[in-house]
Amino acid sequence: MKTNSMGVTNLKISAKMHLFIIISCVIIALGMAVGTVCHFVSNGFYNYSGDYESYKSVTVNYEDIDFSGSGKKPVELISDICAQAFKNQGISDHVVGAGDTNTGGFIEYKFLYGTSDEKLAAAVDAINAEIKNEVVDAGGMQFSYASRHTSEALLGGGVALTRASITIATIIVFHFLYFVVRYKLTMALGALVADVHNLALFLSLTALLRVPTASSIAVYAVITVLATVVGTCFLFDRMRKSLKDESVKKLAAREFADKAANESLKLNLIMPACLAALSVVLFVLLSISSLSPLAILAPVACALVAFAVCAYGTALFAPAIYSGFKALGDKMKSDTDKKSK
Amino acid sequence: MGKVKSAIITALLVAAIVTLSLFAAISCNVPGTNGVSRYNSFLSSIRLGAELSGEATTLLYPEGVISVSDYNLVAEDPDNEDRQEYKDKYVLREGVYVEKDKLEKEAEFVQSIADDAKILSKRLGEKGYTSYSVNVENECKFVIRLSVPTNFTYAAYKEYDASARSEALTEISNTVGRLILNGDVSLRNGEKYDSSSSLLSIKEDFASYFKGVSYYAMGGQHAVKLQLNDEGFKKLNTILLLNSGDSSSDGSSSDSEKSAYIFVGENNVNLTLKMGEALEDKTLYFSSEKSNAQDFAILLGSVVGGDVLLNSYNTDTAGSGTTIIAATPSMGEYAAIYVLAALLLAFIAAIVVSIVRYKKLGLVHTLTCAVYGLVIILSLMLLEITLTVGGAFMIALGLALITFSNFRVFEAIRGETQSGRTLTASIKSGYRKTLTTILDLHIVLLIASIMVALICVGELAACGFIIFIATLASYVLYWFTRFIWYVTSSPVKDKFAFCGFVREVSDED
Repeated sequence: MKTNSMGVTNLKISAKMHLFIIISCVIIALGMAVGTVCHFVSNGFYNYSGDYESYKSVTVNYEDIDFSGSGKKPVELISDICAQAFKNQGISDHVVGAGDTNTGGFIEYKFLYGTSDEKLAAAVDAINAEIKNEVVDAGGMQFSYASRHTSEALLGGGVALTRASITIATIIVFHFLYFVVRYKLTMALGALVADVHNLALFLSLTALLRVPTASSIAVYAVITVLATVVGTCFLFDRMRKSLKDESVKKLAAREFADKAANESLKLNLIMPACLAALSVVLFVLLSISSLSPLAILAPVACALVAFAVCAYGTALFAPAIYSGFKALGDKMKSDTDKKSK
Repeated sequence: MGKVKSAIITALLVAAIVTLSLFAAISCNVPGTNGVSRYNSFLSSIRLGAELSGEATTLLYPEGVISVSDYNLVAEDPDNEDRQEYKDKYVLREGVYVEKDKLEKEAEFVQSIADDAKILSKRLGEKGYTSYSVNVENECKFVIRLSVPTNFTYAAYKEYDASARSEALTEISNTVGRLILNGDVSLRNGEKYDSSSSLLSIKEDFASYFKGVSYYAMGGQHAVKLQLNDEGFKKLNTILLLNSGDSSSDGSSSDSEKSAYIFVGENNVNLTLKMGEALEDKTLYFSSEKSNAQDFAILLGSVVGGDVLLNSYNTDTAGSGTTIIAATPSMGEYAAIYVLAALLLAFIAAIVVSIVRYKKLGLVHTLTCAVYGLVIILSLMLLEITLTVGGAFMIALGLALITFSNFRVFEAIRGETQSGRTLTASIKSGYRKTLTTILDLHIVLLIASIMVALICVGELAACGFIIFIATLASYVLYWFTRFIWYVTSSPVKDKFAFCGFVREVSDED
């Protein structure tokens, strides 16, 4: 990346406005298409988890049973057995939960709704056979331990999704109105487009990449919008300050937007990059303890997508689009001036 | 500011931060109590979301359906009188025992359970759990499976505080027990359903009596707020005045003889009205304990809104309350510790970068970060905000806000010093120049966070509160940085070296 003596980059961002629009539109269209197809043939527009969508599960119950022969804790022993059984059948679990009662416990594995019943049944049989081998006291042996279930969706998160949608819409409108008052109309339009673009891109990418969203989709959509708000504040504040400089003010729309974008580029890239790095650290750390990698992949992958979208949308897309608005605004202004003269 | 004054203020501030940090981070047994009493740190007193502290699960059996173990308890006991009755009455279906009468209209019964599950899902949503699920299983359509987050604190989760764990589970059990109440609203003249008579029974015409029901809290008092419309107000007044001499046949106390009790189905919801006294206001407040008031407000709101459960529900151990099984978090047993470690790394990274870039001025930023950390920990603990992974990202966003606000002002001041100004003049000018940016950024974010906190429910509402606190703290700490800068750099002779700045020396100097 070329930089000048002040360490500021010298990218011609505005010149690539059409390229950015095409890239974004293609990703959004692909995301919508993949989501729609999956809605009809797979588990939904998004790769939902159990709290939003129907799921299949295998529950292993063990009560008053002596597993001391293996030298492992029952929960560890059973999860090892289950992991092997599912691996043998080539199926991956979605979420794992384990509980303890006074006399024993249970482990529940959740699977996507499309998981094959035959494979699950074969895994259940293998788990039951394997657990029976590990029981020390034959008197305490149960007839079976693992059982299969299918749960119907009740959209438990429906209220949360509705409220989150209302909130996001309200924040975007407020952000636009605040910028109209405190900045300029063209900047407010740029911020509005950046908010809507980043949100649409986040939602499309999560659908396109089939990120297991669980209930995270609403939370990370809000995080995307909030991070965009922060980024646009930095970007358009730089532009507002540049407008006070007469020499900069006289620049053409594209040059003006490029100058401000380059000056705020580092900040708008570093902040999402730091947060994305935090997501990766979190993923690595949680991988150590999690019973199910997919359970931690949901929030961390959503966070990564959200911050990547924010970096691209705020640092590159927003200034490019703004240059278009500014050019239009300047043209309208000069036309009006000509008419009045 | 003189050297001594500066040293005292800095020392006091550092001592306060270190002391608070110790209280925030370290849990230990209280000396002299032989491990009986334990001090739980602020951090371990923060409530954790489902992914960090696990879920509580229960199975709900509608009336006419019992679990295999409940059935066996009676049917397999040769001494039990009801043994034959159970064998005649129940039939094994999909892993549970169902009354034969219910199976005569099986499709209707199954549909009613599915409808009830939807109503329960709505009620749990109103409760504001960070995550929850209500499911009817395909293999057994006669049972509803309900999961809510335990919201344990770390101390309760790791059983350092055994009573907190059992209290949390009892609270969940009570809440679930209240939210699964079915039936219609009625006003009765006794505390017990069987021995009292109905004064007013509202079945489907809720709207003709009530405008709405909500939870109300003010100054530590919690209440169910019931709003009557004109007709409901008149009707209720007439009933209370006409029946002032009535007494229930259960031989209850004189107080109960003069009171009317609100029932949902056959359950007394502990909301009472004085008989013989006309109501003065159309809005009634029934004072109660917080959780009680919230749950009954949700329940009555649901019933008044027409969402009446079609079946009565029990858990598998009839008569012993709601059986709740706490499950380990899906992100692993030590997920909370790892989330904390990741956040700690983020704090360390912010501090290291600031020290590398701004030398001793980076230490000022370190103090700011430490205060931010403490403010967040104390707020989460005192306001009982549930921490989830999403919430952890909000804390990180707040840290980024503080760091970039400080770096922005540091850079502006560096720019001023490079143009040849003195440090004092540069600081004044730098703060003045960045103020509009910082103010705009914080105002937009503050209002956005208020919207998230107030409009959203569950995990998002908690995230909204966190980012609200973080934004507020960030703005206050923006000025705090200036104060600390002033205090710590006052006695330093070469202030430019202190900040890692270079000054353009002009001829005028």
